Amino acid sequence: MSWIGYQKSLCDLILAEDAPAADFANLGHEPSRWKAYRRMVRSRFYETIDHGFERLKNIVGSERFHLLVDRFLAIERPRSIYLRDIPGEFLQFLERHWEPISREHGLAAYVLDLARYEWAELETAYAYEEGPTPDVVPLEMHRVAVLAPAHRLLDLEYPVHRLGTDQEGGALGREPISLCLYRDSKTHDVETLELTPVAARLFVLIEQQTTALDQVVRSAADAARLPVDLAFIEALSVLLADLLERGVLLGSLADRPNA
Amino acid sequence: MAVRGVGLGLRWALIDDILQRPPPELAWIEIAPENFMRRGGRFPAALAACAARWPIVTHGLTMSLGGGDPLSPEYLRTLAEFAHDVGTPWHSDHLCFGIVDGVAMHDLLPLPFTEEAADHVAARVRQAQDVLGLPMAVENISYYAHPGQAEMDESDFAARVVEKAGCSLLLDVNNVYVNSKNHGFDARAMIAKMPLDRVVQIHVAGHDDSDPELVVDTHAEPLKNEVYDLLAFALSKIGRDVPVLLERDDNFPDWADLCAELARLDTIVPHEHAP
Repeated sequence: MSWIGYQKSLCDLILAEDAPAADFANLGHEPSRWKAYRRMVRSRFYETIDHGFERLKNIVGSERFHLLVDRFLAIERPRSIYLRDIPGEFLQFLERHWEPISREHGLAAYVLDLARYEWAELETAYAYEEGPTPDVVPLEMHRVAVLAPAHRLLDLEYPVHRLGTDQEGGALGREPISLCLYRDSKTHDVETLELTPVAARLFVLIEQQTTALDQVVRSAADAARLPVDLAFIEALSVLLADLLERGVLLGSLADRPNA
Repeated sequence: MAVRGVGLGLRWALIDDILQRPPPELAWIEIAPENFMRRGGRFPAALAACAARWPIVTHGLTMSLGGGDPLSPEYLRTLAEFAHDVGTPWHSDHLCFGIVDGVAMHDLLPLPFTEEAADHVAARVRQAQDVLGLPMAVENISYYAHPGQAEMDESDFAARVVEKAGCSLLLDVNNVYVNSKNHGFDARAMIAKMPLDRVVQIHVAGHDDSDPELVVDTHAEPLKNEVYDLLAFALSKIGRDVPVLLERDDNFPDWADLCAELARLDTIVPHEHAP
């Protein structure tokens, strides 16, 4: 076996769902020693993915959860050189194979939403602000509004963010909801906001950074078939003030009026 | 700021103690750049606080110097920028492979001690040094199995790599100790044969020897007396001021106990002063 061939074989044996000791014999040392590598590599992946999905693991059960991790390691395999990305790759695996996986393991429908939510929390905590910070001025309606980079918008079928760490989700009913997760710029803690349909639409349009805020507001109101009346404007003012206070909304772009 | 004396690996579990109650012996900090690159939030803030106080040295985990995949240009570019920003005097990574066909194993997997493998690693170290614009050091790993027939021992393998790559050696004393137990050789003789003139940094760590069949390099135990002794031996053979890093990655003890380990190391590490 070439030494590059050896690398591929070792990788296969470590990540396979099952690897009998005899299969390690071709690598050229005692199989028990190679199996030690299998244990070490897999325990690191378990630990990393467990950390990413603590609530999911509690609800699904450790043994069943690790069967899902085993399947991920065997058929999709970790790709990122950043260990913190691996839970996100595991989520992608769940999303791609959800139907057969949920059927085989008897997983409730909200489980996938819980995985999405837990990953969004981690991703928001780690979010990296690449590129120059835009020139931001105090919020003005005729300018493009700017959100803090460390935020994630989520549309879920189940309100899994209300589940506690030790809570069963069996009785969780379907209740479509939009969320905004953001990282507090001072504490670095991740916070979750429940969004009304209008607020969710506002966030989506603001995130695109193509339209001035006054037009964004009108589009969101039109989509919700709401008149832009005094009550609407008062509610909007409260929302924008709250978002500015929280640091989710940074202000307006200085150099792109009426983009 | 020169890198000398005793350093500690920056782990999230230790960050508050490092910043709020640093022992006087702590002279520098080592970081795994992969834990900080392209990451926002708490980590860059903590790193900036450390960098204001101590020299930072980068020690990578995922270059996969012995791997068959091409070195990732994106990784090297990001690492070069990061290393420049933190001002590391050199960058180190391991004599191992960790990426196969784009699959990241996140472990240090053993290379065969052959001329072909050594030359492959050396060529990639040269390539990495060119992109990083930094000198590199390669670290001897703990290995629990060897693939196929070895053409040379671990020290000759390391010597061939550093000679052909024109790089330095990060001598991990605990790894030599662990390997000596698992593969039945004399740790002092192996260290004496290492290219000690190329050593730019030393690592020490704890290991788990509870299993009589396999000693494991865990970085989760206190340093054993045998490793302190082997460190003193290595330093006496090197005969110059080399910075020594304590690696502690898991099963963290009371901060006072970790500080006591740093203090004991400080009594062993030579302290030459800059002219």
